[in-house]
Amino acid sequence: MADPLLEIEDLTVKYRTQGEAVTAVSNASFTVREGEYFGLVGESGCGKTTLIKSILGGLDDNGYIDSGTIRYRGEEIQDYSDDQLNETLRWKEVSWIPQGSMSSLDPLQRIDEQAIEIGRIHTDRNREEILERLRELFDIVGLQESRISDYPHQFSGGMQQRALIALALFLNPAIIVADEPTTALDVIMQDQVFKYLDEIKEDRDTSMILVTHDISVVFESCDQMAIMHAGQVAERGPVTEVFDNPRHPYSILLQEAFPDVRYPDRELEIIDGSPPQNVGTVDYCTFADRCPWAVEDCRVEAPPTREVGDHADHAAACIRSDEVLEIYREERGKQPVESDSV
Amino acid sequence: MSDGTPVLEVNHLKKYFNQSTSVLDTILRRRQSKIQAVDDVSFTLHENESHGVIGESGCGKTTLLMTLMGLYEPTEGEILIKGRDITEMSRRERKQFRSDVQIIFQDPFNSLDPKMTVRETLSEPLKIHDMDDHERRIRDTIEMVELNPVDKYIDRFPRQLSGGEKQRVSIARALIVEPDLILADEPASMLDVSTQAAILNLLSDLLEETGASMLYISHDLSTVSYICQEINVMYLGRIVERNETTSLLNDPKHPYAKALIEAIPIPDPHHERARTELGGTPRDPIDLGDGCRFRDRCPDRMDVCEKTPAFVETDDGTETACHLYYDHESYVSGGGTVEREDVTTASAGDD
Repeated sequence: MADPLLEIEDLTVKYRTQGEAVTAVSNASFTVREGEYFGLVGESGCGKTTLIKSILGGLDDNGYIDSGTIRYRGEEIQDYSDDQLNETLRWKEVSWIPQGSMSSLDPLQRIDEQAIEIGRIHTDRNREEILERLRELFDIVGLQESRISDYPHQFSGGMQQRALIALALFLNPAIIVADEPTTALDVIMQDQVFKYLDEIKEDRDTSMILVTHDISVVFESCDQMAIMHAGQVAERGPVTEVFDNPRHPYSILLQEAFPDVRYPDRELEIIDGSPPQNVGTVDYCTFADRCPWAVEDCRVEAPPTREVGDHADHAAACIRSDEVLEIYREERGKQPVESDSV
Repeated sequence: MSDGTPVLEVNHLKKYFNQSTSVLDTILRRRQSKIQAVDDVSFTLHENESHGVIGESGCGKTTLLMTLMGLYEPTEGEILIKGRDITEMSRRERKQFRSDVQIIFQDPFNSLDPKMTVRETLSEPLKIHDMDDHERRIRDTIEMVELNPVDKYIDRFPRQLSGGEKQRVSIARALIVEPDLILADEPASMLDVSTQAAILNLLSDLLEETGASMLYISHDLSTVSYICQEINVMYLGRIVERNETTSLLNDPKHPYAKALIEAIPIPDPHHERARTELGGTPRDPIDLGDGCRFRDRCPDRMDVCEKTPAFVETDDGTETACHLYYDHESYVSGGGTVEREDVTTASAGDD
């Protein structure tokens, strides 16, 4: 198995408010390995964006890491200052495609000027070398090389997204963190973008953290995944394990709530209620109030994350993880996994 | 309404916009270019049917909806609501039209007045349309959209509601005047998956319950397929394919409809799906001229595609506008309805 690249362990992130601090991420743990695409899934407000912002020191002013560790290639980075992060990690090792990235290209600068800026700061390449590299990358993401000196507005949404991916790849980072990279795009365009992301994965050893609310793109494009609910990691593991053998009520219901164009007649699951806002110490399961199978103990302590199933990476944070799937299937009268041809 | 008159009938509807012109253009007498947002769209919606219109952003689906609502004047063609042309309505008829046709907007966060409680939001349309028994209607409708208990919600402001609850209020606002036709602009697209399913289920139950018809516009085929019996696929202002939902999903004919369906991610890691072969993006809908509008991206392009394809019915009942699916010679001589003159000359260039 490949070496771990980024390890998040018991990470708790809070936001200062006028009252008690809001806990956006509580005790989250997962590992991203070299060459692996990792999907981080959850509904809006579940803390997924906060979590990845904390990796790169990009939290808002009132956000802070309360406890836990973030290790990059074995080195703890959670206490790094901005300067340290700039020097060692940002762009070179970890590059970030932020949410709504259409608006994160500078509209007043041509794409090549933006690349030159990155190149000047982080490398000692000269102008010609930088442009050469950008042309190469444009080719990789399927943009015409002749368009490197266009302004962002001359590109369509999908092309801007791809230009951004090209910039993110500029310094050959080990990890790309992509926050909802295709949410604003139409399906065909989304598929074009993922086509290039697939190719990048095949051709080089880049890892990716794909943050999204869309579980179907994670199932299609990622190797490992974590499902978050209201700050807690509910379940994590290889995508096939989480799909075949989900062990947390939220991951069971979330999968079944997702429309599948192959079965338009299937009844969709509904998850009642909305995620709670957590303050202070989270000593309960955040899904308890929405969970059809919650018991008294769910509200007494935060459920420990335990290994489940046959795979070492597969873990769920539910005290009833060994029985919920069976209960679910029995209640709905479902046969174990109706999956189509492998 | 039992006489079989369609709730909504749209015939050859066109909506063009003029592109803004500069003084220089006027001085030089440059021809003004037209944005062909909706171009020759026809369909019929009967009582208690729900049809979907899907397409990518910029395909004209929102313009279509706005034109149906009477917010834009159609450039050409007619829109009949229960047999009456909406452009020729008297004042009184127009007011009736305003209550017969209701809309649910995409964004529940911005389409409710933040300063109005649920009760006020729902009583507004009742006042406007002189309906009686406000309190009972309001309570019944709130119950109908499953905001229970009613007393908990009736005096709340939008900021005290979650996204899904807001969208339920929007649906209630549309239903309270007992409309015949609901125009829905992606009402579930801004909600989380867990709530999205609830809204879709609610809408389809309510349609059954009230007997209303619905035109549902979206870019997301996987949600449309849950709620619509029939789907229209739109590309650059034209409907390129129409079929019953399951048939469309299983056997799309038009190359664009195929590409669109094949690009939808499948929530199953065991399913192997090939990434799209399609490149590029749709053109701007400006002065498009003759020919199939998909031809610049089409993998099956032929010479004949320079001619506008007719919207024909294939053997299995799919209606599609693609030269691949009809024999031009027999189509013309066989007395089929030729929708556009170009078709008559199109037969020569087939493959």
